[in-house]
Amino acid sequence: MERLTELRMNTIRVSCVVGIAALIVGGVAGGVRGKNQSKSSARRGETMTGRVVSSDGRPVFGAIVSARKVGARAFEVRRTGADDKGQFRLDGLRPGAYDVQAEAPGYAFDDSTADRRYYRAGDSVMLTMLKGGVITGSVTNEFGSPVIAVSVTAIRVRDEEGRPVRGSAMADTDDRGLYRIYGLLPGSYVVAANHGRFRPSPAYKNMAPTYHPSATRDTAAVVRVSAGLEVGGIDIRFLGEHGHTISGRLTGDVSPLIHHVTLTHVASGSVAAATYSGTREGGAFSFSGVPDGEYTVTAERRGVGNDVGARSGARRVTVKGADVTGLELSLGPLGSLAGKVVLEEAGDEPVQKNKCQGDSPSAPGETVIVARRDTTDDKAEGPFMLGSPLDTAPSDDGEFFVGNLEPGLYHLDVRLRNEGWYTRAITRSLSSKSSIDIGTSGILIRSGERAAGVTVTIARGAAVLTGRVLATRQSALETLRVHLVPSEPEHRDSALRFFEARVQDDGSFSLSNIAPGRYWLVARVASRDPSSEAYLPPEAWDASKRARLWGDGKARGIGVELQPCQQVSDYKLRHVGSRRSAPR
Amino acid sequence: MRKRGHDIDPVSREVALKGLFAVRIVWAFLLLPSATITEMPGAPFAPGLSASTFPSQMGVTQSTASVGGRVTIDGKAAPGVLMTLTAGPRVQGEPVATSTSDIAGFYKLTAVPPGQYVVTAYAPAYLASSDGRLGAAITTVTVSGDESLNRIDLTLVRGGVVTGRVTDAHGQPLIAEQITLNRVDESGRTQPFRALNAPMVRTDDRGVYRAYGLPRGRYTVGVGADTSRIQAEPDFDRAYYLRTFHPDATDEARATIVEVTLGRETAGVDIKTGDPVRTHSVAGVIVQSETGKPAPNTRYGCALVSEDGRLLGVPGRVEMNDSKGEFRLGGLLPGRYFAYAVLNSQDPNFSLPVPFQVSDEDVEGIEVKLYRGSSIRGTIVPDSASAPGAMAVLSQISLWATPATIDFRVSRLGSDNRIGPEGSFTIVGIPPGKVRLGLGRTPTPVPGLAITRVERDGIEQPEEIEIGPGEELSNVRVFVAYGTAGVQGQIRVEGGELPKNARVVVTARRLSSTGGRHEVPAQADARGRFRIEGLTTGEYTLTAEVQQAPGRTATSPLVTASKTVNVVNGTETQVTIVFEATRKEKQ
Repeated sequence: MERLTELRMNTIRVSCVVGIAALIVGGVAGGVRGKNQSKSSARRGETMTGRVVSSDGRPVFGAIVSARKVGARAFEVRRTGADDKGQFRLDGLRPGAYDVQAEAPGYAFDDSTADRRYYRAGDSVMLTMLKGGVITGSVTNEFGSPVIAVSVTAIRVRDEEGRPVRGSAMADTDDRGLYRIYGLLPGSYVVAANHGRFRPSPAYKNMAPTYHPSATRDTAAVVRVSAGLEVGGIDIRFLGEHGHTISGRLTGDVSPLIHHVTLTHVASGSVAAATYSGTREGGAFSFSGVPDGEYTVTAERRGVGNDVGARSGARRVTVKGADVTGLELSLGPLGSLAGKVVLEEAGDEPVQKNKCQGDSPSAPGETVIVARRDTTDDKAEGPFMLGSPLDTAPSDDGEFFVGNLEPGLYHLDVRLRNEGWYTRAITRSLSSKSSIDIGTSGILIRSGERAAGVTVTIARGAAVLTGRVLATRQSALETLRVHLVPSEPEHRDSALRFFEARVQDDGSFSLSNIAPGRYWLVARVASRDPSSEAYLPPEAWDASKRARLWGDGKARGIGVELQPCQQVSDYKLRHVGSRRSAPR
Repeated sequence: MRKRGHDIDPVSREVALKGLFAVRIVWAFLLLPSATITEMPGAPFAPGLSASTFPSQMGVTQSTASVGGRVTIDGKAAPGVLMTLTAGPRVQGEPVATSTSDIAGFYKLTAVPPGQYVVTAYAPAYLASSDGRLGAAITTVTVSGDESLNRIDLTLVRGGVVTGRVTDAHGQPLIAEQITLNRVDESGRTQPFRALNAPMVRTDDRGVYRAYGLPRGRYTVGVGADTSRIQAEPDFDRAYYLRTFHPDATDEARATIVEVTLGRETAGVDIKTGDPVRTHSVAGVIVQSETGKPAPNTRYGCALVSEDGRLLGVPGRVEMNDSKGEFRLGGLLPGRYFAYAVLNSQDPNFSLPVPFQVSDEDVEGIEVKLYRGSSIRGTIVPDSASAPGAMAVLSQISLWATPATIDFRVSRLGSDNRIGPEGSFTIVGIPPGKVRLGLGRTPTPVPGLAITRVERDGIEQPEEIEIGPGEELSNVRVFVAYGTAGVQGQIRVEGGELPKNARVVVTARRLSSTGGRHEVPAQADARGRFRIEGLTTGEYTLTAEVQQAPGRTATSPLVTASKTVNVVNGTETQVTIVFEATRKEKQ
């Protein structure tokens, strides 16, 4: 009966929702709040706060901050906007580790995987953005007349330090043929009109791109961009030449999800065009306006949840005066790696006696495990996963899983939440009785392999060592790294006992999560390989570099013994030259 | 204060024209809905050809019909302009044919299947003088049989330019903010203007914007979030600049109107905004009204309503509540809203919109209740004049009951209330009140199908059927017309001309065999050609009505003419309707 009365009342309201809605809404304004709504209260879950500032320390108002939950089986991102003080706040977060990034028009955020930091719910986060560089110019035709509404793309080919990178930004020309591309990261760029992109503009789709100044990719001029500065006069004389079509079909492990199909220019190694396909497109893909040249075509799908992802091999294509059709890119599933993080509670006696700072057990999900692939023989393969980090975080019971692994040798980079813990061992069980150490050698993932049985053992009692390198020249600090090399012979070949840290501009360095023991301290110039990707793997992951480090440590290193939970601060390390260190 | 324009200097103008002509293969890319830019593998895009054509559908015999004409600027030939022919009257899908104008400005689009099309000259910064209101160089044509249309000419004119700088209250530039231009008509009302062949206008890193290719007219120029719409990113809270018009008006009525003249640049149209406003979230729970228990995994949405409770714009996106029945939706600017559940079409429940107000903080504690709805059962019957195969078509679609007094489309999802093989149907979850029956997913009509009459227990029902709380209406018969007859028509004008910028709308009407009405409208193209499809066998009265452009504002019939025609399913009948250029009707 009560329901009927309620319904009758609502009958009146429904039939009058528009007609008498003024009444209803008027009621809201007049004080219906008490009935229908209440004031804000704190959301359940944890909070992350922080600030977004530019490199000169000024707040970046309106920056959009996104926090991706690491290890979530579905893509889980929370976003918010920074206020006029650059401050932001994310409430209601699930416990765990987050990859936090910022974007703001006119600014650039270096999200390369090199030194990606992870944050936890509850952290206070400081994100620094660079005032982006600007490239401006005009696009004209052979008569010097403006080309209107053509897209111009600035393709970042190297970072400030000369390492190859991928990335691009674009803008259209206006009715005067002028363009202005802004928010650029510092580095080297080539600039092209009508460069291929995900949705090629049908307007110029059969035309080949023209690079600044009026060139093909092989002869494109390089434009150097610095943060916050404008480079003008990057004019393009548009050739308007017809290109050719490269088309084909994806076969094999194709799903309705997005498959990125990438055309890479072999000689330069840069992306010539990108598109996408999937079962909805019947697996078909096509690049139009491709100029003559040598290319590779690859297709890949980033897996989410139970999908481990898929990719094809790099298919070599030569375009010479004709279309290339009927390509088949066969996708195979990518590999995955599953395992468990084990907390070793029962340690040595001294550990139990020492109450380490920051060794309270943290939620397993706050540990981040990054799978890092040895990329030294990777050049012919083209891009992979568009730079996506292969990171994960364990579930509450310590289980972890990471997919999207292409074949290769992987090391696990374990990022621990608390300073009081260290990674004691990383093993893979071969049977119920035997297991092998993969902390040093890494783990080889074959094509489509689903590797399981990995155990990451973490233990209490880690030491911390912070200090400062005293160098005779400031410039010597810029590429310096500090290494801790185990001096105990039984650990000389254990990569988990080697630690390294970059020396900051002010000479400071910080090493944490160190296994207690005896070490040599070595400061030396980072091995620089201009052809390497932005990420420099720890030297100890390479057997020969590890041996060299051990040799250096033994010959010139300074001995230091770190007790369980010991916190050494203000350590002064004198550096007198390349690959040299001296006692303080 | 009016902005004074200055002429785009003759040199720039000449240079710009050359730039336009240098473009050899270009498409009206912004006319294509992004969702339809999918390319068939191996589609014959023939590089190197100055003209290419390809069939619009696989397996269709190639037509010998063609559309051609001349493109000119200021009476002079415009060579090298890419012309495209795309299905119309609203531009849909990939072009059916493309061609580039020759040295004398002539173009020819060949192998055109019969149908209605839009001819587009891809010429950013230019407009067709005949239809400049759209901000694109386009005209519509109807092609039948294997005819050759050779006089589809386009005269291009350089559009106007508006440029300026946008700064905040502290003089800092607003970067990457979208600029909106609203056209102001003679009575002072504004309509959003969107150039069809120019990119979206945004400020750059200096706050500078430049809108070009604009039709002549009076505009307001604005920036910032439109508070009459739910923002595009409802999943998080951030700050927005509220819509501000040149020079610094938050009320459009107080904006300074900018005069745009063809071929001229109006500079200094700067905008200064106030401080940004932060969005907030709404949180609550969806419950069963009967039990008070939470209704988990239920979709919901929020709609913005005006001060007098009218639904504003398009409802925001649909989300799902959690396993406890709770929801939270962010991204709401200050304003009045309805929260409602969005139910599947087979769900016997309905929800009532719950009003709430967002001001300067998050809103909590909203309770959306689900009520047991009423139902309508019955049979759908094709009338005797319908073409064969009506039942097969009906079995592919759904019948909907839409409350007459609220836009209920916001709260129903799915299309699984399909009509059964014998024409049976059941519609559930109907809120009490007046409802209207509709075929397919409104507002998209199903071609050739129309409801002509609704009966209950043999008695004709009004267009809006009254249904009480929990009532189960049965024995309802819905008569439909399914037609495959067509009319191919030509409007002729004798003794004068139709008013400039006028359009002719032709409506075919008849009484169905069940006593219901059947009406199908169509619009004639620039040459007076029209095509009406989906008629059933029988006698129709065609009424042609001349309406005043522009299309969106209220139209008033100036002249009408009519003609009676007999049509047969599966055939097309030719007809000519003659106007005398006076205000009296002519048979």
